[in-house]
Amino acid sequence: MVLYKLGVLLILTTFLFTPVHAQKIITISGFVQDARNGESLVGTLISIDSSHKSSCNSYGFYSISIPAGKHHIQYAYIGYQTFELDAVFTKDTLINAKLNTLENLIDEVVINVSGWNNSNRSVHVTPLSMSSVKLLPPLLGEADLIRSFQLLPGVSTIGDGASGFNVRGGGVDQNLVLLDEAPLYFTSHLFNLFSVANPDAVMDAVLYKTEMPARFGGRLSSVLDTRLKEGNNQKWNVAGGLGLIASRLTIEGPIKKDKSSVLISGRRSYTDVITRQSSNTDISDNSIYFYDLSTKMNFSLSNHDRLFISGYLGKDKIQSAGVFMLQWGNGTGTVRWNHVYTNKLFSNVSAIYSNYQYSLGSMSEPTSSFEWKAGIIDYTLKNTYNWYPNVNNTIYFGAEVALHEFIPGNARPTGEASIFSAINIDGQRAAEYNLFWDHEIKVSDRLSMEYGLRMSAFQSIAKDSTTVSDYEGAITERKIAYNTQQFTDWESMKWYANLQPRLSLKLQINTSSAVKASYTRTVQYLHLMTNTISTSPLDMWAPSSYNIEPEKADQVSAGYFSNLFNGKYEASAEVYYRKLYNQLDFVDGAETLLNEDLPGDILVGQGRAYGTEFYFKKNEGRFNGWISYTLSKTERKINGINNNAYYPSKYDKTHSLALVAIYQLKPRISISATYSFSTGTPATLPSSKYEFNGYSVQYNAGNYRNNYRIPAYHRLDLSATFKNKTRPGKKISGEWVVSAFNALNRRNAFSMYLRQNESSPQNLEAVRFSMIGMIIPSVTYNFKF
Amino acid sequence: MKLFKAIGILLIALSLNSCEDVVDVNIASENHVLVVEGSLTNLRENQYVKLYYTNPVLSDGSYEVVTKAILTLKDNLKNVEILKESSPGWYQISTIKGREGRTYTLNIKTTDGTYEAISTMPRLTMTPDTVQFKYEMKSIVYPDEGYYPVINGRELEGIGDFSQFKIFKNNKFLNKANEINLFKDEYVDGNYISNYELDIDSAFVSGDLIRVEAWSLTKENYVFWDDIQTQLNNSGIFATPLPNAHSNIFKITQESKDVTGFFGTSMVKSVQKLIP
Repeated sequence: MVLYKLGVLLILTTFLFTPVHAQKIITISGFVQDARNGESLVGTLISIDSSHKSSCNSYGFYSISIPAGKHHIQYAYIGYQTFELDAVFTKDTLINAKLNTLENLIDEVVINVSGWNNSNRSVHVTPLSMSSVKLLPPLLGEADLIRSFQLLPGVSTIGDGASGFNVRGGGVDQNLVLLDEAPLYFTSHLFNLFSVANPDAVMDAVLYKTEMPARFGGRLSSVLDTRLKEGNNQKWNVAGGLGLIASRLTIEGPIKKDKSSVLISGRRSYTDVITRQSSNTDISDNSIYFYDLSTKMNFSLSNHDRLFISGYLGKDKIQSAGVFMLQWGNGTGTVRWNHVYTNKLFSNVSAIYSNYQYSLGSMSEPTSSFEWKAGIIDYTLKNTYNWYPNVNNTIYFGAEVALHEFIPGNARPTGEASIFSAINIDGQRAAEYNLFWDHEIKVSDRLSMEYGLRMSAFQSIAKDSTTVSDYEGAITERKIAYNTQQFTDWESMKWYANLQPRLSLKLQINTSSAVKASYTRTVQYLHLMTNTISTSPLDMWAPSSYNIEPEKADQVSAGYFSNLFNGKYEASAEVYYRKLYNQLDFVDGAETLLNEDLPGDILVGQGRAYGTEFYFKKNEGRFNGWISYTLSKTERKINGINNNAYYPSKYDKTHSLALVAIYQLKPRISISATYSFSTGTPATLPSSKYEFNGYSVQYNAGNYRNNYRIPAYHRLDLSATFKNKTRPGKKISGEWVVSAFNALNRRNAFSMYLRQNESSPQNLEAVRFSMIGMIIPSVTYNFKF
Repeated sequence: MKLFKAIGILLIALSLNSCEDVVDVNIASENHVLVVEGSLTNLRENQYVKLYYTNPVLSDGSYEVVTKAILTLKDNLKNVEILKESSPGWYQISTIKGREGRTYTLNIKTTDGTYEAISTMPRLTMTPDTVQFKYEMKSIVYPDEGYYPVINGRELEGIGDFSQFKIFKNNKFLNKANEINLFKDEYVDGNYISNYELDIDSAFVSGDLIRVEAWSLTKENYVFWDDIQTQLNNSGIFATPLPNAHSNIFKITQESKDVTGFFGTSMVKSVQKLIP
């Protein structure tokens, strides 16, 4: 292996070439950063004498305790030159390593480096590097993090245009999407076309789907942990892109070189400008746009203290002149303080704010004008410790408290003439208290494990004056409230407490392959009140409360992970079985918005999901990419639906295949293609009909749910990136991205249903609805200077 | 609701050439089920209860009627009438009158089983004083240029009123999916409601005669129509699972086969106007 020394800065507090005392244990610790811009390289793999391995935490900190003596240390990170060091260590040593990126253009598409491999860690995460996200074919020129994750095994979506993603049979609301630790409650722009995170501002994203360590919780299925870039602390630079529907601009630079930096990244669509140009007044009267703004500041206060301040603001606004206005947006803010107490104990304190709100106004008629607002606000305080007692043990522990405020809906008439009366649905609060402990143990050279426990308590709290009721009635019908009780402001209404054990084991079979197994129990206290195929920005979150019990899930998973040909390829096969409890659904015709008696419309049941996932990836070379295939089944059994029998859930897809290929054609030209195939999702179709007062009424004899499948889904996307020649002496570099989304020009079904026949409304016809009905070409220009 | 319709149209207009294609689906046929379609109103015309069987959902053939059934209608004033089958499958109500506040029980005996429906005649609120027109240009809410009907009326004090406005254009009933006009007083209780827009599929033109019939509905009947409305407008990415229309016909004996449909009782009042 080549030894890269350039660009590496070492701060060695002590570096003495003295004879070594064999018994003495010393600790090597520090931070690992990108030499170019000072970004923390989260997850950098540090190996000592090729045997002791550890990785950086989410702030780039590491700590390894080893016997004093001569050692060979290696730092490896995706897309970076591996740094190696041979030295004799006699005392605790601080090494802040700075890694250089691979300079060669061809190497830029190298997604992986040897040494980083999928069989190393006991907790299996699915990382997707932002550089590979940007190389995948975009929709309308916008690289999309969530859409890229859908190409990985076990991750899927209901269809084009559906918001969010589904992991191993879980709902969209069962994923915790974090942006710098702050939860995002609706993850899409323009209804569901783009995900809210601006890829230019994101440093890395990791998906926990197999195991969820105890330091994460609150959702059943997965955690998508997204971290914003910290900002370049070496020099100022600007990057941006001009696309067909949106433009992006990111500015970052040092506030004080090496010590502090700032990043501001914005993106705005000009869809409203486009619609205004239309000659069709149906379109030109309307405006629809989104923007998002991400910012982060980071201050290195001392060798032991770092402070991060980050914020995100995203908004969508849809307006039809004088008719209606709909806007929604997430806002988050996070302040984090890292402190290294000792070279073995790292702490982080985070104060997190998250706010999701929407408002909907109608002004088409003075008589029917109203404005309606709803939202959820979170305040979280979290303190996490990473403790590295010795080379075989790493412990993560901490506590988290959160206060959630729910504004389920206030609608008020606007103007004197409005016929509407004001509507106020009682608000609620909830407090969440969590303690967590994760312990990574290297039992032997072959066996390592991580066990953890998350203890959570959840308190449902009244806001102002909150009314709760019991509900009674036939199981399939809307139930009627009785036994109504009133709670006063801040009064505790209900407590729930749960223990959530987590366990994962890794058995190393040889240097390149391992078998892993895990058990995870997760509990979810926040529930998305939705009964539509895709979730919508208007769907409200509700807490576990007097009427709604927490959702729970148990998952067991096992897999075989292998690195082939010295890490050039990796392959994995996994099986999983997940059982879900207290799953929520709704009676037919339930009103999930502005409904005071929503608990009376809720149905409760269970679910199960199982499947097998295969993944094969070529990590290196001019041609790389991956194949993922998932064979799975996900079902629900809800009291009151489908005659109380199991039925396929709305996101059940038996087969799901994704092929991703990236090819570096010439040093400045790369092309990529993705192909997705999946079984059609289920649909409920009626068997019979009758005619009532001139209308055809559909009749589902037998009350089946999801008794049909829409046609299978195929999509091919293509893209090519042409980099401009960089002229000597000029700092600016640019690239053109040309892409074709849905290159097969297919009308993939999103759903199927029956509608009236236009000419004879008393008859019905079956219809296939496609969200994307044609090939969508796009051109984007990206620049950097 | 107009608002959601507008959002829907906007979504479609701006989405990526989203489209609906009529396709063939092989839908498994289930056994046919008895349907009851009946209503009792305060109108002086003859009123009927129809009995027939469901058809496969995509068939456009005629329905098989159910003959020789025994239908008994009674009210809470102990008036009883056995309905006469005036033509195959049509059972005529002759003597019992529809009066506000009375409770009616319809008993049905067929070879399929024994069934019953109970309904109390609800009061009619939001009785339209007048029907008026406003002239609108084509826009996101209005499908074409022309006249659109609005009504004015007093919503009676006291929550829990439901009604349906049935619109007739030159005496032809408008039965498109987006022409089901349902009304509830949940958010507007006790208000005088002016310029209440009725949903129609295409604009009226000069010389058209409009008749608006206001039908009072029980809550159950409102839900039944709301289900039909959901069934027929349940498209796009925010569709909900297909609901069955909630029936108010119940089995009396356990061995009775399945039944669906509705027996409704409504006060009806109509207004009409010729567009000059």
